[in-house]
Amino acid sequence: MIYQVSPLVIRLGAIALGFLVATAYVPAVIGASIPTGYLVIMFLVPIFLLVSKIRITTSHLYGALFLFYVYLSLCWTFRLNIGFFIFLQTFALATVFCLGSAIEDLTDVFRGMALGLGVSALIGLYQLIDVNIIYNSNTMGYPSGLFINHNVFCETSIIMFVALIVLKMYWWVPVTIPGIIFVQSRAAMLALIVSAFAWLFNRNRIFALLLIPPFVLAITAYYFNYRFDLSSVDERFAIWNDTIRGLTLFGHGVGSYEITFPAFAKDLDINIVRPAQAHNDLLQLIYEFGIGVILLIPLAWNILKIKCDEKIILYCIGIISIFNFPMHIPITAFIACLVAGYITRFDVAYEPIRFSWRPILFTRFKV
Amino acid sequence: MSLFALVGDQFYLQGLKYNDIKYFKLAKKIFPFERAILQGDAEYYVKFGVIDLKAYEAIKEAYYYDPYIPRLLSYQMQYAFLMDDDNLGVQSFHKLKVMAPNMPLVKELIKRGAK
Repeated sequence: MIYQVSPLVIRLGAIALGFLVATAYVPAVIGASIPTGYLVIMFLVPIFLLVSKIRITTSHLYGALFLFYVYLSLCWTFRLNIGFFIFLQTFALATVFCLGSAIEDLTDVFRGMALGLGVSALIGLYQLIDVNIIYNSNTMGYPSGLFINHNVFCETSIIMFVALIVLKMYWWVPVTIPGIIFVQSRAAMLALIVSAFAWLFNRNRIFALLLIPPFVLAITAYYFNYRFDLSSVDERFAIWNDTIRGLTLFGHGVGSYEITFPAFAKDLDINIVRPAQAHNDLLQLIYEFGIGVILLIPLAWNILKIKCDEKIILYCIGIISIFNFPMHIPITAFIACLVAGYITRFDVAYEPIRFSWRPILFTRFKV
Repeated sequence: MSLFALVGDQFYLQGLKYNDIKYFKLAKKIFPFERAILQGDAEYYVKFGVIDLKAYEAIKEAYYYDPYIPRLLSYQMQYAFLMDDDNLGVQSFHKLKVMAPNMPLVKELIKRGAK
């Protein structure tokens, strides 16, 4: 059943949703061990779905199949209650995907998120002058806003920067600047470069390709001149090696990574560092769901084959997810699912496909 | 569910702020779906050196939710010996020997003749 609500209320609601997802976690005030952003998503997105009409596409069906596999994996997950909460978070992201496919315009939600990021940017500026209003895990002086981790702050800022440019919301771009300028996470910077390249490639392929060699040269020269610290890269490789060591056919089950990873940790000293994520979302998905990840391939293909600029936001998140875990951070996972859902509006609806198998089948029988 | 999570998380936060076991227990009762919340009371008992049956049970439960962490296993071993549960203590010691042979506690026990 779809309830009728005034468009103004929906618009205000979308802004409020975006704002709350971006600001819900205030460390040591609201939230200690649970990322409260997920709670906002779990609570508010279903309300939005009551007033939205979802157009089902094949992408929705593949997504539903994967979600069912995630649900099944509760049967063999390491600890059911912990797995159940992670399953709920995955379910919440699925509802965001549906919301993305149902809303007409992304700008209102992003307006809210930009406002929320503005709050973080403001707190970040205070943190720069050593006024720590909010807990900051970094001791090197990098600001982290409401995200505790400075890298997450930078990644979110860059994803938002790309999204705001793609959606032509240029007036909101300044809120992303403190997170980009004062932190400079390498993975996020790489994501920004790739996104810029994808944007340029869509407009002028030859010019974009010509830019690659001088750019690679510039990066190499920069590395040899400044020798930026690569110790975190070694740590990533250690985590990935240990994660690969633990891969199984059907996966360890939803929400099992953090608990079961130490059993396979050989390269990484678990007494010093205890990763809750694999720092590579695809690898973690394979670790937890094994061959179930295959169900995501047609979904990804369906989304990536569509030609639209919004895809650049997903490229940006995709690059970050190679080195970090944006699909486990509420705001970035929210953006990824919302945009992926939004892109499916350009996909073929499920209905015609369902009714077209009949004539095809009967034609075959005739032959 | 999200409401329960929020309230449980708030109790956990209060527990961390005021170092009061009742908050940790409440958090665990309201929202037993998150690892840190599930282990909150055990961490409290270890931090303040509380040695009783309740603490022992909490530590066993914390270990159940995180069985590959040597630190928790060593707590379980120590509490088992303190509570005269020698079977579990010896069992934990053997596991710990394999899991973390370089742990100072394990080295010391071996030096003292533990097998």
